[in-house]
Amino acid sequence: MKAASFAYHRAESKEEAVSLLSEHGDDAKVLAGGQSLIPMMNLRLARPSRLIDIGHCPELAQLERVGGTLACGATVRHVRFERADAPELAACRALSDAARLIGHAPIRSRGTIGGSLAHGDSSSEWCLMMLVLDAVIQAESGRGVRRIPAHDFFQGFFTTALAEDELLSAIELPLTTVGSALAEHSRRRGDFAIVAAATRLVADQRLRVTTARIAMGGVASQPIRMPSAEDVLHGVDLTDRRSTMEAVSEAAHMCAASIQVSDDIHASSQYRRRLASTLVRQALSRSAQDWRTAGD
Amino acid sequence: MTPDQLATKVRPARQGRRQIDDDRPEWGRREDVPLVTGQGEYVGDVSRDGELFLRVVRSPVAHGRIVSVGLEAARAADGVELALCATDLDDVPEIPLRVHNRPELRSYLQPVLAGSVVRYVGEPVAIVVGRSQREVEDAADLVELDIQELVPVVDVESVQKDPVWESTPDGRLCSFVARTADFQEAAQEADLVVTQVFDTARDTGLPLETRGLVAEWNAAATELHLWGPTKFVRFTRASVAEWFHLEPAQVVCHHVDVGGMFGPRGELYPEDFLVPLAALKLRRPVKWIEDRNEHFLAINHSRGQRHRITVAVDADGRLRGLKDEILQDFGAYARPIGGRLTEIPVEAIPGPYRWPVIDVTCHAVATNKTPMGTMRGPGTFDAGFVRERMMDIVAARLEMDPLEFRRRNLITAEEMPYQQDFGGEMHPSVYDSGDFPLVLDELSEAVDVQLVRAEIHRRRMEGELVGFGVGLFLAHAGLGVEESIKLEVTAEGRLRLLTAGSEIGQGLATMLRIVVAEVLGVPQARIDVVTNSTEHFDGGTGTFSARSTIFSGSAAHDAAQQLLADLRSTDPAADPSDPDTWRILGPRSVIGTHRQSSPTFGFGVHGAVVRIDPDTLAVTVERLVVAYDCGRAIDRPSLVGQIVGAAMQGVGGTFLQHLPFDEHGQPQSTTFMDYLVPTVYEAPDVEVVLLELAGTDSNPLGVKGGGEAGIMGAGGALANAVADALGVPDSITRLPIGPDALLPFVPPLAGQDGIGPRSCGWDYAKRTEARGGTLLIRPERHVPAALVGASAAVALAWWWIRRRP
Repeated sequence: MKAASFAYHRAESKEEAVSLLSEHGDDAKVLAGGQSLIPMMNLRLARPSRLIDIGHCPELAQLERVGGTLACGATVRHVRFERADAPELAACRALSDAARLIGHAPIRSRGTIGGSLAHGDSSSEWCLMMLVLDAVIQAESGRGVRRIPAHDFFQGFFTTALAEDELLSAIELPLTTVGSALAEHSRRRGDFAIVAAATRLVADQRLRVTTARIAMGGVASQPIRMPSAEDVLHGVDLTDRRSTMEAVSEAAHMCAASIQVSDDIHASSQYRRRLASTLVRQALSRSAQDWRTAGD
Repeated sequence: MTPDQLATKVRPARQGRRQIDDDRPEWGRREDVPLVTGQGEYVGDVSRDGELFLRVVRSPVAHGRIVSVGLEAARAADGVELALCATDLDDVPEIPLRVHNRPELRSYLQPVLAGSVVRYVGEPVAIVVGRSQREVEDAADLVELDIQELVPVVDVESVQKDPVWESTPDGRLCSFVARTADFQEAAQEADLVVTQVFDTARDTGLPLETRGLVAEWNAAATELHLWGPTKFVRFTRASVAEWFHLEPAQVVCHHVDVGGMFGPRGELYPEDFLVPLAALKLRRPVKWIEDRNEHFLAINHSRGQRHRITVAVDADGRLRGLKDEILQDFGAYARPIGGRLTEIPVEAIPGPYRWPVIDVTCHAVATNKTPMGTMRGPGTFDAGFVRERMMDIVAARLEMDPLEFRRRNLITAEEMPYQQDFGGEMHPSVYDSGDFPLVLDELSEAVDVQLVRAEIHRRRMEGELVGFGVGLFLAHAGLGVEESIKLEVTAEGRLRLLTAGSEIGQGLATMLRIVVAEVLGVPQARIDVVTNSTEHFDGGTGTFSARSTIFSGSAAHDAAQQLLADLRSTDPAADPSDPDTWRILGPRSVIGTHRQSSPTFGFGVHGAVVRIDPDTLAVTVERLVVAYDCGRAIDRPSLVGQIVGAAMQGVGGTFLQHLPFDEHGQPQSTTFMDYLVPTVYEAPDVEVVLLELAGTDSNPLGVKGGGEAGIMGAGGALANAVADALGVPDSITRLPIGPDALLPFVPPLAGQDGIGPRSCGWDYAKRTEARGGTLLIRPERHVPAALVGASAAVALAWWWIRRRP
């Protein structure tokens, strides 16, 4: 349970991190909170020859309002969202709700949002939330800054759109997360979800849905959006509980029916499908309820 | 109080139930202080000057012929001092048996390093020793294994295409047969015959720290020093001595703290040879600490049984006969426990009931998987699950209350001692004492069964899936025939107990201190206890099978009596509570012993209430109650702790823990991400009803085993509660119970594909009728009108308040 040997670089600034990555990108891994990378290295499932530690770059740990978006540095730790004591997070309750579901307290104290996204685990709470919030992920390299929409970011099994020399430096989030929710299920509290569903409904002043987002985890090799189920919810009048419930049920059903899942030691595909239906319905119901409460 | 009065106080109370010595102070567990303040000295904390580290290279395949083991690159790697495989040894010893109930198992012993054939993933093939842990792990990666793969045997009923052992093509390594009469005849006379197949998955005990061993050769003293052995310290020592042609006295085992033993920790393993071997070859201290990943491959597994059980019964609920064909997944090799793992389920399956006829067989079937050993409640947990599930299934077919059905067949106090015969080939079990119906009554009272059933009925009407179940068990304990312990009076007038038994967190030291303090009238603070060490006293047998209080406690009692007699003969007027008294008597020592050839049988009942979330199929254990007759509790807090901890392990084994293998014999659960143990969030608040019924004459303390009782009926009770919540008696037939086990029996979500919105309401009666079963709890029988009224509401409110302070 000891990692294979590696060289360690500590970057003191974002610029230094980017320059180290330009130099060593092909055989280096970026170390943020280390909550996934270090166990994988100790199990020798990952054997990077270099680590670039970005945990000491102050500009990467900032959370600030920039124009109409919330700019979130890559090394903002889960616990900051969980506590949500920063004024910038006042309108982002869904983020603290999601953070609370990540692992256990020690993991949340060290793990970072950028680390989670770069790792790209299929059932990661942050990956799903970024998809439904239409977040933009900033990838910085010697060649400049690339802004990647979340729905283009997750490309496969632990694979993202980041190039070898690119540092995930920040995430652009909406200033409010009203209408967003995350529902997940695991055998024990704190474990990786067997299935997770994130949803977001955006409604106009009359509480008619203008935008719907559904993302699912644990049902594919990467976190995925469910566009056809989202379409079902467009135009739904959230003040009409009955038609909302019908649309929610149909969307949940479509999600469960369309996913391609297989059996593993934790759950059969049949059970995953059932969970998918249940969790999408739970998340969407909470999204709809959020608007009704906001409207009250 | 005079010492004589104190001494008699140790005698068991001979009458009365719930005998509690309320005047007995709550003793502190002195040994816990260092453990909970970070001062513990576990094997991983042992560090010797100039030590080297050892890494075991393990087989990556389940079954294959070794073509070659290439060590050149590893030997040339940085920091490496030694790398060797079986062909480098003149003689490759085997892991010996310590239980000799099936001598034929000597043909299936594990060599300390695989020579020509590997038989499970994780089998040691080579070792690398070097100056740091990281370097030996790096070097171990460089070892080139050329293994020609064979077809692995992974299921106990599959054809052994490439048998695990060529000499035994059917894979059956040993068998036990218990046949008292012709079962067919009994079945023909019975009104109802029910057959069912049950499985228990592979699991293992989980010591908090992984295994480890530090070995150091002291050339000047010609002694081999070991840190790490526990459980069977003397057997480990004798085996190590024999391997290296030493006298046992030349092998010194030092005390280390142990974070739980649970069965597998402290058994003899290949590493117990490999680490001393390296220390002797290199003349340097060698340290080996297993990582958790290899722990899951290499430590003994347990459970893993398939039962094909048939029960014959009369319409009035009287049992006529029991037939059970058991296949024990034995793994690849016989480990020191020998055939015991195959024998226990045969002894355990009848349980506390009267069976006119039994016909039980158990075969040990070789598989290309990790060898099997014990885990808390070995065989008994499995058998308890199978038997108690079967009792519920049969009761449902008879349309009989499952508790009433059990009561009709329970052995009564008047029938004690009761002899359970096993036919001509096996020794009978003698249940020495007990009052089984009384314990069942106590459980029913503690649970408040009527009230719980009324509440369940009400909640079901509201669409909840809730159920109640019980599991009865007999806890045989006290194996190992004899134990001895040394009691010293030091020159300073302190008392010191020395034992090869192991303090593994169960409270051995505190229990021994209480026994001696009570006999001698000496404050506990003046008594020291040194455990799992051969440094000062090398007699004794060890710590296993819930035997410590029975054997070590009784031996300590004997030693204290001897010392008291010494004191009396020297000075009849001496005051034992005065330190000067002992200063004058010391230094001197006595050896206390206890012998008993047959085990004691404790009896207990688990009761469980569970709720199934109809959406996620998550099971919540709302209540878990254990009623257990321990004979007598010496150290009540420790005993309750043992029962609660074991019950929690039972919750894990029932719902979460398993060690599955794929069709290639590859283990699928090798980290804590896949092997799930219950955490504080999943832990129910276990309620313990401790009964101290006098009666056993097997030992002077009047005690029965306590370390395993808490797990033994847990699987049966929890599984019965789940089946009850599902309303389908036949539903649960394997452990652990995951969501997929519930899926066929829960109300489907709407829509043809069963994933639409869930329909509301859930008609238990309709459901069970549709399956051709019988409704387990019928409202008209179990909900008297008086209970449905206001009094029930008040009582329920009280119950909830009490449960949620």
